[in-house]
Amino acid sequence: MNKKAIKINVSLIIGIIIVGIALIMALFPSMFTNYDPEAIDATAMLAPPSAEHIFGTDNYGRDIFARVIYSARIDLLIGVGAMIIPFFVGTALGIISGYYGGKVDAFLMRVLDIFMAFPYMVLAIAIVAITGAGIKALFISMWLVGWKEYTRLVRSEVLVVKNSEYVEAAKVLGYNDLRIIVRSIIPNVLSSAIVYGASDIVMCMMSGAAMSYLGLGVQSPTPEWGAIISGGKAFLSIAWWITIFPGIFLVVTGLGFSLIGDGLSDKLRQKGR
Amino acid sequence: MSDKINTGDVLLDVKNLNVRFYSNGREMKAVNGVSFNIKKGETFGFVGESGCGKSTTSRAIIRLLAENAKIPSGEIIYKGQDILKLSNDKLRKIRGKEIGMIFQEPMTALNPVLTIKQQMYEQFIGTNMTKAQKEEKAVEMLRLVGIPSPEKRLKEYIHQFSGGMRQRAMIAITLAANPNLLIADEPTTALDVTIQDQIIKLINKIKDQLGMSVLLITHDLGVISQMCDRVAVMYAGYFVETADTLTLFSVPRHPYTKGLIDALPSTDKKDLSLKPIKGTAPSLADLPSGCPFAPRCPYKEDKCDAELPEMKEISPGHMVRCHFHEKLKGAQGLISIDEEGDNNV
Amino acid sequence: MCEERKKLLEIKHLKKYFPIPRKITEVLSKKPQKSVKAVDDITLDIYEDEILALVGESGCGKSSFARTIIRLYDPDSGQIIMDGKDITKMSKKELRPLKRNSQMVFQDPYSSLNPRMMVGDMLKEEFLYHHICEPSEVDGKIKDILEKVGLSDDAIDRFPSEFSGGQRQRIGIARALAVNPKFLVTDEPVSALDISIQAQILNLLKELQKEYSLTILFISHNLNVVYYIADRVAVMYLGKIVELGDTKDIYSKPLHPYTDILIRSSPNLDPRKREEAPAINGNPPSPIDIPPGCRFAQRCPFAKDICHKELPELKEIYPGHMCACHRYNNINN
Repeated sequence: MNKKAIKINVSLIIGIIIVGIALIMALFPSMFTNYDPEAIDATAMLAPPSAEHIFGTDNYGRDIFARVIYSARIDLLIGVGAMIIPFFVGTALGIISGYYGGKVDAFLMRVLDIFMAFPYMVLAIAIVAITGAGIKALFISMWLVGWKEYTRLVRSEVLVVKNSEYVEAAKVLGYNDLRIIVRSIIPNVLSSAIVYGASDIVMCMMSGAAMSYLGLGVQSPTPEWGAIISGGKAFLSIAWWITIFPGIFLVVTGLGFSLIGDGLSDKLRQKGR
Repeated sequence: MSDKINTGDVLLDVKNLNVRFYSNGREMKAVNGVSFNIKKGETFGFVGESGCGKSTTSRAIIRLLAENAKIPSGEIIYKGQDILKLSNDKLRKIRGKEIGMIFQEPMTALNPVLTIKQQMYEQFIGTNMTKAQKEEKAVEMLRLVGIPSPEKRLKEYIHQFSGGMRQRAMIAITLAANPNLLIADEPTTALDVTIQDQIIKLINKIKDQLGMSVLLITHDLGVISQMCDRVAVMYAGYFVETADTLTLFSVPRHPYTKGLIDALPSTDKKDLSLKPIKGTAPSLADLPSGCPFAPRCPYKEDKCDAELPEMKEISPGHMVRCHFHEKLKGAQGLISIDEEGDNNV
Repeated sequence: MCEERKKLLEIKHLKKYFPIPRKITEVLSKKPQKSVKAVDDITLDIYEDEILALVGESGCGKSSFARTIIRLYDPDSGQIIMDGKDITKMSKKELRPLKRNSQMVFQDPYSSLNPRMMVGDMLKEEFLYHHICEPSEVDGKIKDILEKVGLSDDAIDRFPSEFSGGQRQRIGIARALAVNPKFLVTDEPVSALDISIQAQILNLLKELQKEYSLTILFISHNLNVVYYIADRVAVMYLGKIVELGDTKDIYSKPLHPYTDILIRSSPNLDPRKREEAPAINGNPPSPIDIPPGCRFAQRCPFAKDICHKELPELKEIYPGHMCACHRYNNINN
C-alpha cells in the first residue's frame, strides 16, 4: 500500500482507547473497586466524594463509583445489543430492496415509511405495557425501530453500485444474483453501514439510558448510567455527585464510539478510491 | 498560412510562469517555466494529455487556482500590468470582464437556479446601461451564438437547454461582458461530433466578429487544427514545442509531438498504423531531473537524463525543447505541406 | 464475399423500448405510457472473426443495442440467434452457461472494476465459476492472461486503484477474455483514455482479435478510431441502422446523408482546410416522440415529401453496402 494508507488516524486511536477502557470496566469491574454496587449502607447515605467513596454515595448509601463501573457492562450490552440486530436486518433489507427494486422495493419502502411515522417513545411505552418494563422491552422496542436507517442508507448505496459497470460486467459473466451481491455489492456498500453503526451504538446507549431514566428500561437496583442519573435527580441540589459522574461516563463512552465511527469513515473512504 | 501569422499587438504576455501544488507534504511541479504571448485577434492553443498542466496554466492567468497552489515565480502581463501583482479588487475587474472563461461542462459552470437572463445581467453590473439596453444586448448575445427565439429562451434555466445549446448559452453569457480574451477549457470535449463541429465554427466566427483573442485548451489535435493560429504542446508541466499550427502539424520537431501524431488514429492520415508512446507520463511530484520525456523517448541519449533542454527557436516562431531535435528533421508530420509548396521552415 | 462468411449472430427485427415512468396524475388520467425507442426494429448479421463498428451520437441507442444482443437487457420483440441457437427467450438459467461466449469491455476504466477485489481474485473467480480449468492450473492461467494483455505478475495481488487508466483498461480486457468468449462487445473502450494510451489499447485489441479469432462489436462515437479498427461499420440514428457496409466504402462513398455529415463533422487535421459553416445545424430530436417517415428527415438537407411520410427500409444498394434512404441517388453527386 502507499504511504497515505499508513497515515495515523488520531480519532480512531483515541476512540479505541476510550472504548477499550469501557470494555475492561465491563468485563472486570472488580479490578476497579471492592464495593458491591448494590450493597446498601445506611450509615453513609448521600455522602459527598471522599477518600472512602471517591464518587460519593447515593440515598441508600451505595457507592457511586462502584455503581458507575458496574454500569459499563449493561450499558455496553444495550448499545451493542440494540445496534447489532438492526444492523444485520436493516442492511439485508436495504440490499434486497435496492438490488431487486420493483415491487419488493416499493413494499419495503412503504413499511419503512410506516415505521418512520411511528413515534419511537410511544412504541416503546406500548411494548412495555405488553412485556412489562425491563431490558427485554428495551431491546424489542429498539430492534423494531433501529433497522430503518440501515435500510435506507444501504439501499441508496446499492442503487449506485448496482448500476456501476463492474456489476454489469459480473452479469455479463453470467454470475448469479447471490454471487453478485456477496462479491460485488456488499463489499462496496458495507462501509457506510459500519460507519453509521459505530455512531448508532451511541444513539442506542443514549436512548437506553433515556428509557431507564423514564423508568421504562433497566430497573433498580441494577446499576445503569441512565437509571443512576434518574435516581439522583431528586437530590440534584444537595448531592450533585449522583448524577454528574454517571453522566460524564455516559458522555465519554459515547464520544469514544463516535470517534471510532469518524475514524473508520476516513479509513474506509481512503481505501475505496 | 504564413501570411496569416499575426504580428499584431501582444494582448497577454506570460513569462517564465511556475505553479506548484502542495498536498500531503509533497510538492507537485504542475507548471514549469512556461512563456508565451497571445496577440490581439489570435487563437492560441494548449494541447497535451491529462495532467500535463494545460488547465492549470490557463487558470493561473486569472489567478483561479486551488488554495494549495503557489506561483513562486513568473509574470503575467496583461495590458501592461502584471496580473500576479494586482490587488483583489483590480483582479476582479479583469476576471470575467476583460478575460472570460468557458468550461467543458455548462451544467456545472452555470448557476442552475438563475435564469439565463439573470446570469447575463450579472455581466452588466458596473456599466451604466439602461434596462432596455441590457435586454437588447442580452437578446443580441443569444442571437449571436445561434440560439433560436432568444427572447423566450432568455427567461429559461440552463437545464431546459440541450447539450449544444447549453454550451452556446455559456458562451453568450461569458461574451456579454465583451472580454478581450476568452479562455476556452475543453469547450467541445463533452459534445457529440456534429455539435462539436457547430461550437468550433461558432467560436471561430464570433472571435472574428468581436476581434477578441482565444486561449484554447484541448487534448484533441483535430480541434487545434480547426481553431488555432499557434499551438503549444505541453508535457509534464513544460512547453515542449510551440509553433504555428501548420508548422507543428507538418514538421513536428519534438519527439513527444511526433509521438502524439503517430498515435492518433485519423482518416486524414495516409499511414494507417498506430504507434503508441510506450509507458506513462511521470508523476508531477517526482519529475526526472533531465528531460521529462526522456524515459519514454525513442531518441533518448545519456544527455537527456542528465540535463533539461532549453526552449530553442529553430526557425522563426518554432520553438522546441529537445537536445536532439535535429534527429527529427524530415520526420513525417500529420499532414504534408508539399501539396501547396509553401512553408516557412 | 460476405455470403461465404459464417454468421455468428443473426439479429432480426430487434426492439428494445424503455418505458418512461408516468406521474401519478398521468396514470389516473389514463394517459398512454410513452417509451424511449432505444432499439427500434434492427436487423443485422454479425460475421465470425470480424470487427463491426457501431457508430452514432449519444442517445442513438448503440449501447442499448449491444446490451440487448448479449441479453444484459431483455428484448421487447425480435430474435437474437447466436451460433444457430435462438437465445431471445432463454431463461436466466438456460443462458448462464452461454454467457461466457459473449463478453464486454466497458468505457470507464475507473468504474468498471470492483474497487474491493484484487485483480488475481477477480480472474480466479471467473476461471473457477465457468470451469475453464482445474483449480490447480488457475495460477498459471492468470499469469498467461495478464501477460497477453501486457501486464506483469505483480498485478495479481493489487487492487484496481493502484493502476493507471490504461492499465485498468488492460485488466478489463483480461477479465473479458479470461473465459474464452467468441463475441466481444467493446463499449467506447478508448474514449476515456489519453491519445498515447488509446493507441496502445487499440493495437492490443487488434492483436487479440487476430490471436483469438474474436468477433468484436466495437461501439464508438469517434469516426477516426473506427476507421482504424473496423472491418465493417453500422451507422445508427435514433434507434435504427441507417447505413451498413465495409469500412472503406462507408468512408469513401457514404450513401446516407447522415453518414456523410458525421464524417464531415469530424475535425479535419489539416489547418488549411477550415470550413466556415458546420456540417449540420441543430440537435437530433428526442427518441420519445418520433415523427413518421425517415427519422433524419427533419435535419436532412435533401429531404423531400416522401421522406416525411414513409420510413425508408435498409436496402442493399451495392453488394454488402446497405442504406436506408429514399434519396441516396441524389446525394452522391
